[in-house]
Amino acid sequence: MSDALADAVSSNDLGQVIDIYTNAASEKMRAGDVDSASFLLTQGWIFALDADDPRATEIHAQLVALGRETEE
Amino acid sequence: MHTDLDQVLTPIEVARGLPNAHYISNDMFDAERGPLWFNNWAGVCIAAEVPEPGDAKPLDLLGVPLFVLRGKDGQVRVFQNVCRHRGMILVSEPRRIEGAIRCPYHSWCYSHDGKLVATPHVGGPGQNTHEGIEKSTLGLIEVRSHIWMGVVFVNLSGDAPAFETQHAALIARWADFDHPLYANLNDSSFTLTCNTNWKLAVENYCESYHLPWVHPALNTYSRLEDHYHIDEPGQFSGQGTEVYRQLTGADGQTFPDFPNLPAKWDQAGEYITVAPNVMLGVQRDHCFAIILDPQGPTRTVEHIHLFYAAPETDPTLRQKNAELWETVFREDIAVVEGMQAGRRAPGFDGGRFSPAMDGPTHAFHKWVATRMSGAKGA
Repeated sequence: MSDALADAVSSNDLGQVIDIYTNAASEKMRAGDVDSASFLLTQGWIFALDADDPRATEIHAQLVALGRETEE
Repeated sequence: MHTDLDQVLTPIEVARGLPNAHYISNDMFDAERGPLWFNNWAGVCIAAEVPEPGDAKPLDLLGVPLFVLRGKDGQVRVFQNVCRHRGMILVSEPRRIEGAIRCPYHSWCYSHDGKLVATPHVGGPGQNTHEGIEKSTLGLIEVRSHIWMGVVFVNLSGDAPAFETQHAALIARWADFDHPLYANLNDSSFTLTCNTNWKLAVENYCESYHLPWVHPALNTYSRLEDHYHIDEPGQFSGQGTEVYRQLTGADGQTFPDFPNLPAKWDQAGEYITVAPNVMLGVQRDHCFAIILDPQGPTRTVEHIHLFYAAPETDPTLRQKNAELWETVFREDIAVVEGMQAGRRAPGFDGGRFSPAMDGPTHAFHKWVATRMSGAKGA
């Protein structure tokens, strides 16, 4: 993940950055590691907000469902 | 620092100008920040510098970091350029902000209207809320702003009268020009840097007395005796001409006029300073704004923008017009820098005014002196 993330960040490919974080979050969720998944989802959410990416709404809803963010 | 301002606040026949310290002293420059700048409406940029939603540009108003943003709703807003978390600068260069305004330090995010929308990991890794952090109270600090004549004005203190109130007389005077203004940042904007105090640029702009000496070419068709003074005590001052001549191209083409202008503008032009720092000019076919950006007591950057009545105008003629005005404004640099150097002479007592010719200059001095002496009423 780290190389791919570094490449995506260095090329300012925020769509790819979001992909990497959300995919990694999904893996952690499947493994039952909610804390790590929440961290990764947060990273993806922030870059989605930055890029005005529509996935921001969906990720935010996931974080709310996990008790890591509020509804507003 | 105390100086004798009574000498300024007397009738022009006996008055002397602002003492030297007002032009050369760092302490005085700092002392001006509140009474002359932050408590009034100062120009910071033109709205055309952020033409599209998401366009942002950092600004500096006497050391105060600001940024201007045209939001997704199309509204131009000015904010203090600082994150509410650790005080990091948010916008460090002109850019398009597509989504949230994200702090480059810990990624706190703000919406285009300044609301704090995300505080990642604020409650620990992966926990984005904390009971001690109320997002609704930590939005960006918006600065009161107003757009007029294409210029973005800000009132940093937040307690000046509304722009429309404070400048009602000038807005009414120039109501004929209340039309869309079209800038072109590529060929109709330029910057000049002068080793002078910002006030000397204003003072020179306000008076026509110097025209035959400093602008001899201009004076061949716009003579001194064709000019008149504009002096609204405590509000604005400047000059006007009754012989404005349109620029014509090789084929006789001219710029389109602003619509529905009364006949009085056929050959008139007016040049007025909105104190402290915006020098404006209006004519039948174009306007301009000079925004003064002081870099210290002895250095001033002039940001000059020409505006036209139509979105599409002849580019060759625009270029010619920009060159013409740049020539005129460059001719002024030697005198404003010369007056600045003269302020180092300890025997200079502020100087005397011509009662016949320096009324607008004296009016500006009184505007300064009144505010610097604490009597805001002007």
